[in-house]
Amino acid sequence: MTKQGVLSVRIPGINLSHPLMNASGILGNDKDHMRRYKEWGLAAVVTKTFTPQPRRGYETPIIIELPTGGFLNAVGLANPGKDALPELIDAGKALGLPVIVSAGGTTPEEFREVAIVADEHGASAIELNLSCPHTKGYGLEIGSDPRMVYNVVRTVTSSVKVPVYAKLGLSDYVVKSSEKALEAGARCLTLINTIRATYIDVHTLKPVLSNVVGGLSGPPIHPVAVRVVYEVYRELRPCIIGVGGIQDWKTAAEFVAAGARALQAGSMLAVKGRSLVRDVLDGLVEWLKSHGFRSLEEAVGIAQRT
Amino acid sequence: MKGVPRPAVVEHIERISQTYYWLEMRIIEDVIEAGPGQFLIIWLPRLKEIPMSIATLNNDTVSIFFKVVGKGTQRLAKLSPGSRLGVKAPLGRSFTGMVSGDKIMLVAGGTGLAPMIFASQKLIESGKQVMLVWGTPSSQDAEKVHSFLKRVMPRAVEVYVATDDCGYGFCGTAVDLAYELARRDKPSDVVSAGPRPMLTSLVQRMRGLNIDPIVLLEEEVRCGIGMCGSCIVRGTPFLLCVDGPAFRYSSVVSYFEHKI
Repeated sequence: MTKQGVLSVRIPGINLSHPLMNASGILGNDKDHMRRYKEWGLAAVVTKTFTPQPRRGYETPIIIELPTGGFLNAVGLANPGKDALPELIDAGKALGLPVIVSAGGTTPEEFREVAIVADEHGASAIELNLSCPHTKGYGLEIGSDPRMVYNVVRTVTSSVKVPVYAKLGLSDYVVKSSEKALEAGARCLTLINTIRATYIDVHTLKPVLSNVVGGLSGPPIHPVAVRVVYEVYRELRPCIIGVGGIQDWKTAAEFVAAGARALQAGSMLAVKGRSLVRDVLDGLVEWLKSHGFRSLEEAVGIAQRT
Repeated sequence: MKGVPRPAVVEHIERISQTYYWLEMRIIEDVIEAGPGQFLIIWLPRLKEIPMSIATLNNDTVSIFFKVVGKGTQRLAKLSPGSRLGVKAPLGRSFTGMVSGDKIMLVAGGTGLAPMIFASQKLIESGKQVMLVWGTPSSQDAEKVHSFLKRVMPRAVEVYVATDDCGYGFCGTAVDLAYELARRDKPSDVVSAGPRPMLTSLVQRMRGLNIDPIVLLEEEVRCGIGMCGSCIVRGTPFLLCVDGPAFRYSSVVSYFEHKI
């Protein structure tokens, strides 16, 4: 079987030639970004989170690398607003890239406004950002409340035809929120988002990010993300897209073994680009072969059989 | 670790002329290695980050050449020795490997001079012949900066200055002067930094001499490490902060065709 065949996998709305896409937030709000995604060799792309109205985002510093490893960001959901989506989706589709639109809002209605534009203009799926950890009124403030998760997901799924995914973050209620998202009609869960964190420069005695609190990403959050994927898969057996700290094929394979059938890479994708994609895909093929799996799908959640 | 804001301290600051400033910072307990074209982002605590070209670099000490254009540079101009800040560096890509031949003409407008000071240092070190053409509107600035350059530039660099008000050096723009010199001296390559209209005019004039210059572009750099996408070079898949800021003109034509 060809490499593509072994790694091809279906998630609601998309036949992926392989499991890897970008995590929302790495580029993704400008049509010219699509060409870069294409060069990286991703199977599908996820836009930056779009809100109904344009958002300028925070003053710099918005993203820093940490001396202890990983990255910290508080970009502030900068995006050109939902009216810019059609051009962006068209640009991705023209390159043969399935486009997943990340939607954000402070109310169920705002999520719906963005989702409708995405649905009407040919997005392959909508990923609801219920987990941005650093923007007041958005993301995790909604996603950590299972009832709010239900309301947002239900509002959107009842208004669009295209499959809806819920992106949830680290909270004490992530299993409960996952359950509510699925109950409300989410077809897949993206787990997890960045984790709330702060970095202080002891030389100037100041927090570095303009927003003070940001989201930690990259290799330091990988074991946390694997744990969440593992627990949610164990309890609910849903479609999961695993994200958080993928830096090579092994960190990718761990997500698959925990229960993810697709993957997103963020920080290390921006750092390594196409070489990360190649490393992950080549390594996964060898890994599957070495264990006698004929396809990636056979390995999903394999570590649950303890 | 280029995206970590490393602690730095201001060593020296000088107002060279009415418009231009020079600031030297020492990176604490660290050294930076960089090539021409690479830049840094200065973190002014609780204010903002400012991308700046490297003007000179010696191990742990890095200098910038700037003018006041907004609240960030206003604050920079008021810093004094001992002020603490942070520096992300080196960012972007060195253009050393792109330069063709041994006779290089550098053409700068305004603060586009900063990366050309560093480039001339590096190109001279690698055995190239370098001429530098710099243009600025006012002759008062021109004279003072020209004199200052003697302190920070390798002596082997031939420096030519152009002013719009014709009170110092060549009467006209840096592009006019660069064109005359290129016709006479036939450089093997041309590298340019400055405002976009200047770069546009330069590439048009150089086309007549069959020269495809290397241009240092400007876009809004926010994260500086290839994640946020703010500095996408219009009509290309390039990000200025990781693939640039130096590009061969022929590879970024669409940037110049895009409306501002």
